[in-house]
Amino acid sequence: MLRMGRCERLSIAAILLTVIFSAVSGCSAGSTPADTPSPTDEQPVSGPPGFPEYAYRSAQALSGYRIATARKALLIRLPCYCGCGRDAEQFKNLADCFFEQNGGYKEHASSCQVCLEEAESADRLWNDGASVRQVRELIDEEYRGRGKGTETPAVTESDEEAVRLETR
Amino acid sequence: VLQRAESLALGLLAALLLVDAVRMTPLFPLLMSRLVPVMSGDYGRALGLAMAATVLLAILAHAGTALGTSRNSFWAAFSQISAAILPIAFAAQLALSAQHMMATPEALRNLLAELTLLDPGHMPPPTAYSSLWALKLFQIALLLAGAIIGARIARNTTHRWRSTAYAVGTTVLFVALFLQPMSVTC
Repeated sequence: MLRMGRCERLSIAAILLTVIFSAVSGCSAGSTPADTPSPTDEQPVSGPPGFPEYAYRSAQALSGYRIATARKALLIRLPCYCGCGRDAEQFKNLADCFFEQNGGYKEHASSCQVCLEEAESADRLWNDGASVRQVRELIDEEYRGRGKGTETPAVTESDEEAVRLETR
Repeated sequence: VLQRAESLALGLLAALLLVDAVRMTPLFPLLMSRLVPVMSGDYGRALGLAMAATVLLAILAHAGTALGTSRNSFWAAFSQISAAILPIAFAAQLALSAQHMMATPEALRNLLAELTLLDPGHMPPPTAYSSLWALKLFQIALLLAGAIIGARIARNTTHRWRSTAYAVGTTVLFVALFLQPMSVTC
């Protein structure tokens, strides 16, 4: 049996606490629901089942892609202010930061703080009961100025109904 | 050479530096893409488990090498191994700091954009990972310098090939990681 003084016991305790803290902090921070996409989900899912590797770059990235998959209809009606608006061909709305034209996932949002934050804000506002128009107004208010926004058409009544139906 | 508490702390530091180095490489999302589904989609739990496992394994390797090189006292051998690891850990810390500093222009640009003082165009860089050869050369040179000093300390204190091999092996591990493209967005 190794004989240890108080110093060694404290050091071992510190190591064990670090290990436990790593495990616990990993559990408490960045936890995301286990709703990996599936074609059988009620919400329509574009893109192949499962997320690409780059979506796992951070907890926020994974959460962003999950939100984008579940709320694609809403994100299509929102502009992105990360600056991608400079490339009007590729980026017409926030959903274009997460999805390619063919419906597959796009890497752009995985390392873009603005895209991920906008998606989280939109999801939070939608879950709080805001309409599509209200979400659009609040997103515009909070993120305008960060970069050149995409040229996303204004929200209409038909958009409200379409999003409500697609995200029910 | 070192007090016991310092030795343990060094082992922990080396383990945490290893975790940070892995986090900066494309290996990290690859690893997480395998772990997260196993953890029922919980990213936090998967990350915590990976960090805890890495730290434990590193400490065990450290202790195992000490056991393999100890003549009389485990703690004396542990202390000598830690002293050999110290320059390598210092070199790894400097190399990681250099990598983080490369992200500084991006971080500053993002901050100015959030304060609407700057219209930055595309917010993220075209690629999240890069291999700037000048930076890589600098990082590898740092690690090799650390390895040389660490190997000399191991040879002079323990006179056992295992401790020298451990110091060199640790450096090889860090060099392998730093040869990967590394993130410039964090």
